[in-house]
Amino acid sequence: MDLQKLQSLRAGGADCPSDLALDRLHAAELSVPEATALRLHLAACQDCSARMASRETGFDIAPAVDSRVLLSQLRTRLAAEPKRTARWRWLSRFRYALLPVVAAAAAVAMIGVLRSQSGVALDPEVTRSKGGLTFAVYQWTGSHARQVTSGDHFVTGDRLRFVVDVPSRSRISVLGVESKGQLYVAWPASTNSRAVRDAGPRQELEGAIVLDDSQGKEVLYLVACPEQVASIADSCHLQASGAPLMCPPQCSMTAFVLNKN
Amino acid sequence: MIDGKSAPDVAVLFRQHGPMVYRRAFRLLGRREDAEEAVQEVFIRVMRHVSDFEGRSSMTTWLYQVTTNYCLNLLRDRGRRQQLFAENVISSSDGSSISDSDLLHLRRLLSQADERQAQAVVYVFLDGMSHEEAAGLLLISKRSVGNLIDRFLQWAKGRSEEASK
Repeated sequence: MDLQKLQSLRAGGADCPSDLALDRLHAAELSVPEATALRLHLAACQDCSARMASRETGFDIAPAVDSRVLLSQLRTRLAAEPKRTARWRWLSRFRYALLPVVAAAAAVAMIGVLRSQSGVALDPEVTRSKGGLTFAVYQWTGSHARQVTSGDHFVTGDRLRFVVDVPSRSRISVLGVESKGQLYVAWPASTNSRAVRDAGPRQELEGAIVLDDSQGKEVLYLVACPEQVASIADSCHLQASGAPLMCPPQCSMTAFVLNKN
Repeated sequence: MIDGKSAPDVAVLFRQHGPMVYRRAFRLLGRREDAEEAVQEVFIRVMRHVSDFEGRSSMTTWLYQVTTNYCLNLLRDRGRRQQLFAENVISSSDGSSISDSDLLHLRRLLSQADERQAQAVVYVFLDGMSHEEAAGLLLISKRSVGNLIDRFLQWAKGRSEEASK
């Protein structure tokens, strides 16, 4: 393979920006002068304009790839990974010396839990999981679904679907709390829905919800209770407007924040 | 760009950079299954080491390095080499003028080339980087990038001469 053949492998001409430059422009990592210079080139170069457009399409450029599945598999593999942060690596050098401190902290935490009032409350600002309950929300765009993140912005008419990991056989429900403090059942939408689920990952909750025109921050709570809890909606309540949702202590919850505008 | 102090959410990172990692892995490996596996491996490595990432480079640059190293290691893996070459497929949907046979030939060479030379060749000829850009990723001088490329070309020439005998 000679130099000429190697030079023909790259996308764009010899004077065109590299893939790295375009990818950094796409990721908004370039300085203003660098980005301006690149955009001037893109405006004058059809090839590079097409290269940049392909970056805007995300995974749509590879229709055979299901990015949902890919992300789900990635999350599963990451969840199975032991946590190895730099801080932990540093702390692990002193693990034996720190053992009494950790034990004392655990005891204090236990006392705190025992003293708390009955019922489980959750701070909706933070998405938490308890006992492996996880809550993934997807926005349905008509042709495909993309996973959205807690705190994302949504508009009236957006269609959402839910995928959950259930750690043990439970009755599950998704309860919503509107910005004005009204509680509603987002899922199940009908009595035909399979609300009691066996333990297992990646369970899709049938049906989609369509967001109404109410504005402001809305919180969705995935609640999992023992099967014996006949109605989750009747068992959970809001103590005050703006307060977190309270459910029976044997239930676990995880929250998802929607910013509607 | 991240500052190394706060761990990014994998979904956010994946949404922003996943297609780029997939595109590069697919170009280097030539098979969808391998490219998908590469995406997962790259993000697992990134999430594993994100606390060590101190914003010395941009996230994109870091992902380029991790993706290149992962894919070159995979190409070098003797067990998988035959499979990769037997099922070579390449897409030109991103506007590149890549010839399938040339790319197949390059993959074969990359699987046997010196590691640093292979990295330099990928950055300069596949990604179209200037020697200066490649030098930034390889943490060497521009001149050293040129030397790596020259040595690779000499080595590749020697191999094709041997093959034609």
